[in-house]
Amino acid sequence: MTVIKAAGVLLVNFILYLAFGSFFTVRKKEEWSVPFTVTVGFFAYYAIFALFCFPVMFTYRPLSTLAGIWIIPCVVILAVSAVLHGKSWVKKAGDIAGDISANRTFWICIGIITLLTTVAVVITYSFTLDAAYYVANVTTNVDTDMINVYDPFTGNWQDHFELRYAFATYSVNDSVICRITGLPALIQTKGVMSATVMLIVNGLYVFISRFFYEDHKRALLMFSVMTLVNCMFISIYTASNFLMTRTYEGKSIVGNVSIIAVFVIYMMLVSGKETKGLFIILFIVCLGTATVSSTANMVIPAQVFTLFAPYAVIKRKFTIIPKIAACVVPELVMMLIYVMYVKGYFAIYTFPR
Amino acid sequence: MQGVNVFENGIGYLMKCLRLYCSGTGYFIMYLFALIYILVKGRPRDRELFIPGAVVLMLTVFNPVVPLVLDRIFDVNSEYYRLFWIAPVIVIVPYVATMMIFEAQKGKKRVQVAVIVCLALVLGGNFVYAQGFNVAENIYKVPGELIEISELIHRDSKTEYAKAFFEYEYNMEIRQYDPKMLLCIDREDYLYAMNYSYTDEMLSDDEKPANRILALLVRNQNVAEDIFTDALEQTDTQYVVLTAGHPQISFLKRAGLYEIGRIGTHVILKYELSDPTEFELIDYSGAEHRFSYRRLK
Repeated sequence: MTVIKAAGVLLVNFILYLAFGSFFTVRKKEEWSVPFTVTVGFFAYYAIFALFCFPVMFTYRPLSTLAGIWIIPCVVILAVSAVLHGKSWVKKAGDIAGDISANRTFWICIGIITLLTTVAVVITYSFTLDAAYYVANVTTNVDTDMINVYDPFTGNWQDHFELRYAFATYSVNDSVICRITGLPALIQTKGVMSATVMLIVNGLYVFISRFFYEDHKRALLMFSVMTLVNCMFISIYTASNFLMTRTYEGKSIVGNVSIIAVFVIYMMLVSGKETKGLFIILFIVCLGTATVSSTANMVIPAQVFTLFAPYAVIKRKFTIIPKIAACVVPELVMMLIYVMYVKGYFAIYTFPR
Repeated sequence: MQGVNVFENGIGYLMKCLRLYCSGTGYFIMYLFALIYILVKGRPRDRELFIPGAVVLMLTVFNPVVPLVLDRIFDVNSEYYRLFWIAPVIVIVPYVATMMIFEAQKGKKRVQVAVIVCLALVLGGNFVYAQGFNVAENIYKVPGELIEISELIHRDSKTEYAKAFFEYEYNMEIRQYDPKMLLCIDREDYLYAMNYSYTDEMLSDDEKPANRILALLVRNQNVAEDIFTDALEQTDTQYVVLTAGHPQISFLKRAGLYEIGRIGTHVILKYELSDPTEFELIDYSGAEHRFSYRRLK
């Protein structure tokens, strides 16, 4: 029963991401990509979730209140998106079915590789110290019906919010899902979300391979080598290691989804494809990433400037500069808040004073 | 990064970080090779995609001076390596590998190039499952023994929440599975005691009873029996879970703890607290729901 429920949550995740992402990527009579839409939707989902989470968390309302509230925007956004984009989804499903029947070998191989890597990640045991915070935070939130108020390491009440983690509401979303579905935290984090991240990453890899190679044989080889690199580029520090062994952590999402998503947006800009609304999409990816892990606060601004600033200078498109600066504002604000907290300028209490 | 800091290493910090980051893999070198390949044989679009960003990366993230400057503003010691993730190794290496294979003449030549490329990718890396493919014992992905220990303690305890000491791995894992198991030692304290960041004097600090538990059970220091049981009383710790071969088990029994069970390789000991305090969650029902913060400086 638990496994069926977990599979259901996995499916709902992707439906919601598609619904959230379609607002930014689906345009009438224009080509759009399902993996890219799902990725953008993933970040839009977490960005909007954070907007609902902060007021509830910082006013010490229960997790169950947030769970009750969060269902409403999800249902509304899903319904509106289905009305607005339903036809595009159906058409896309037809296109994909056609592509699959025309390129059976390609899709079967992609499917097998994706399934194998996802199953490997989901069923293997690996001990990591950080899970002592991230996963225990979900179990603690669910057990106490509060949000980030108790110390996940010990279970003791905390006098003030630990802001290193409090703004990264990714694990609070896991708590909400556990609260709604009754799934155990370990299954939601290490099972459902690990599989979700693996499927998103593989989807992005298919998108990138086909961007570089229209020929299916070459695209399949590139996709296979990408998987091989993830299995081989292993030290305790690499993004590939985070993906393969610590998939459920926010850091893994920053290193393997956000960074790749920003690179894909840059690819689109350089190739001149789908430039309409591209910086809004970049903003959504940056905003969503800021709510996934505090690692984003340093890495994402650096990546955005590394890619887009030289492009703006070389192409003499200086109007890009203020746009990319605006995109990384969420990370810079989070960084400033965190630095002020660490330096002891302020604390946010977990009880009114 | 573990054991490497900017202050001690200065300009050499970056190289040490890179060496640790790669840990014997050749993927960073493959990334540089792929960049050169794109520069020489790539299409204009490929150059536009990969080269400007790589140049900026070399001037910033991979510039040995930058961590020195950044460290003056932020503590970058433990997290600088995450900036290395920006280098798109996962895209450019497979792209160039595919290009090299398909640019080779069809037939024997192509097979030779494919073999060389595959060998470089495989021999130049560390396989993620090199230490073994450890399939989790259960759907919770924690040791089965840990689940049994949790059940045993809750059966024995008369309260909803029980407080315990566990050894390293179980200390980190138990609350992922069981939020009703409170711990007397948090992760950082355990690690600092284990890697000797806490000195012997720090562990003898009278004001922190948990340190006495660490001194005895993690560092195997001499602690008087009454001082240890006082530490259990002050921290409300009723259960101690140790591996069967732990050198302090006989000490604990002398100090008044008794065995309530053995599960697999673990012994579960109990201490009868003279005045147990029942753990209760904070009551927020009457709390005003308003944002509350304090400016400290």
